[in-house]
Amino acid sequence: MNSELASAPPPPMAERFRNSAVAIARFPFPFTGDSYEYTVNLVKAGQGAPGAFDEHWFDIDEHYVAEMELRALVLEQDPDRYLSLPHMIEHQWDVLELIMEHYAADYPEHFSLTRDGDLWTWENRLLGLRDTFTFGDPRTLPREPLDYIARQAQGDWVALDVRDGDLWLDAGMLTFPADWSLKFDMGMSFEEWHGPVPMAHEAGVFKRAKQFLLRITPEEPWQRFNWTMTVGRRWDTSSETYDQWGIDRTTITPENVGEKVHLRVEVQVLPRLPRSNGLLFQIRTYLISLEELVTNPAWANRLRRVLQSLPPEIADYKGLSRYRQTVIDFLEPYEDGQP
Amino acid sequence: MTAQPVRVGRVEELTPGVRRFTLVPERGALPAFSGGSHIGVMLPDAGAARRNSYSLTSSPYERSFFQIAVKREPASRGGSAYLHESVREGSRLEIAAPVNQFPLANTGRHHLLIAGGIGITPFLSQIESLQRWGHSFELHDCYRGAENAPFLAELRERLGPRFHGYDTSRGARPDLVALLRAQVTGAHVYVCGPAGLIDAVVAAARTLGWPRHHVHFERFSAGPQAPTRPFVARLARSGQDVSVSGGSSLLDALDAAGHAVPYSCRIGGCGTCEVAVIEGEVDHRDHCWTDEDRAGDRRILACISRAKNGHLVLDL
Ligand code: FES
Repeated sequence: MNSELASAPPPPMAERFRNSAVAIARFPFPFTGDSYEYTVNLVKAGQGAPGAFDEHWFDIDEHYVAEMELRALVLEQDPDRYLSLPHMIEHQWDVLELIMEHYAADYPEHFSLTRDGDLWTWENRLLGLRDTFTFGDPRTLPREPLDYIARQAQGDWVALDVRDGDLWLDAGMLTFPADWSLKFDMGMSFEEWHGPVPMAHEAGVFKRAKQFLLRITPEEPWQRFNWTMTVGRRWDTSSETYDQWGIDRTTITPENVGEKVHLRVEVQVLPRLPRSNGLLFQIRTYLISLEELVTNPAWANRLRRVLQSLPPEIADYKGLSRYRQTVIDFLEPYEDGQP
Repeated sequence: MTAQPVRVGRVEELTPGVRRFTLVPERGALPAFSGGSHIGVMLPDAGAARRNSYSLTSSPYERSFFQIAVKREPASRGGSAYLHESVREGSRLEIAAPVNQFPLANTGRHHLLIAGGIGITPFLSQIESLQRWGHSFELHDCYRGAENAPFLAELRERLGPRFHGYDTSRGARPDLVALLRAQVTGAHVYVCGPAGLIDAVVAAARTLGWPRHHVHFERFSAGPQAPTRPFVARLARSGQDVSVSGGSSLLDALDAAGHAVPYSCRIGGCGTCEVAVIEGEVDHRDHCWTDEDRAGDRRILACISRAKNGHLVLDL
């Protein structure tokens, strides 16, 4: 390695998360219509075109290394971003196996998994790791299985226990949540942790969604979108750090809106965990600044219309009431010629 | 649901009437599964592909083969007779990926397993998981004569004092109320076997005030049913009328009419074949929904439930 380069200070984190043209082209733009509706919007996962964000069950992209380094920093400051109840150990191994299997099969240039019975060797060339361990024996890994693998896997990872006809949030690693907190939601049932979402309980959305999720089979994972907006290229917007980022919402002006406001899209992938019968809830977060987004005028146009039609309760819940109009005004000039 | 081709590696006659089939993948590994899972086996039944479910009896940690144990049913719907008569070593079959409708509760403090006859099968893979993860459990196995109990010797040896056998041909039976009463708080009970045994365990648990979610059962057949009368299902979107005869299910009739509804268990146990009902009263015959789920008659499980008054209008 070039020693001058090695001693130079690394670029600031936010710089490292800038999107290349390729990342913009494959951004998971979530809106298929011009108005906002709260629906379950589930589709089969891993059915995308080559190179698309949904080509594989678990997407990695150009921000892999930066995201994993940022995750390590967040965990250092707040170790409770990883939590697991004691009965979740089998689920943890399930998640580890699923990620290792899929990463090794889908990205063979970066990862490999060799198995000799229960003796497994995992190699992660992007982070320069190579570990041999006994599958099922936690003493052979440096950390608990979910803690170990989620530090090497993009996105947040929540393992749900399926019992009593319900889904329980009993383990996870959550360093990049959109204004929620693992510590707060641990041990809650499906409807409990969705408590704050306005208008949806009345519509019976969660009851139906839960029935659907309970029927997911291991061979067919499902995928859904969720979206919100974030000020700054800020990944960690958990409830715990609200004091650091909540105030940013008051800083938006017509001059800085394009650079500062980001559309935040979560692609949630939900596979059944084959050995523990639990459910995995993977949340892959993508951020795009409005400046980056308007390079595609069709997106600009559609986002503007969605924001215009957003009910006030939803805008409040997503925390964007203060600057919604500024964003709409910014998007106004980008016409794609569509009616 | 996608089907996976497998080859029949071995066929063993475990007892008169029960055969074990070892299935090996045509290539690669088989999917991982959890204790209590079953697979669907496709049956070339009168031309139309049909699927029967069989519990996996091999270890969930084994991915180079699957095993199922099939009892030849005298009143077979065709599945067990076909497997016994036409499937040999080297035969090729298609299977649907494992699904678990009889999972272990991970939070259970103790697991009480009660099997009747061929109902032992789902417990074989569950025992693998329970042993591997060091859970507390015991098995109570009811069988009619040792010569009819394919896994008896193996289980006795493997489980030692955790195994309790009852030869019903000699009049032995578990005292279910006493057994359930003796359990620690936080125990879960699992029962699989004839309808009479399941009903007795469920009744004993209810008498003793066990929480509903601590009682798990898996049926092999829909059990004795009220008489089935023909009815007509109108499909609201096309206006088409589909007649369901007394001898067939709504699921089969819809399938024959070109409206394939996804299914899994075909005995009203899993909820996969749900269809929305717009009009008409449903005669619910499933055993997976609560009364609350059924309220308002807005849905039907097409594999088992029927119309109360001769007609239904479905959202199809
Ligand atoms: S297929 Fe299982 S309930 Fe109908």
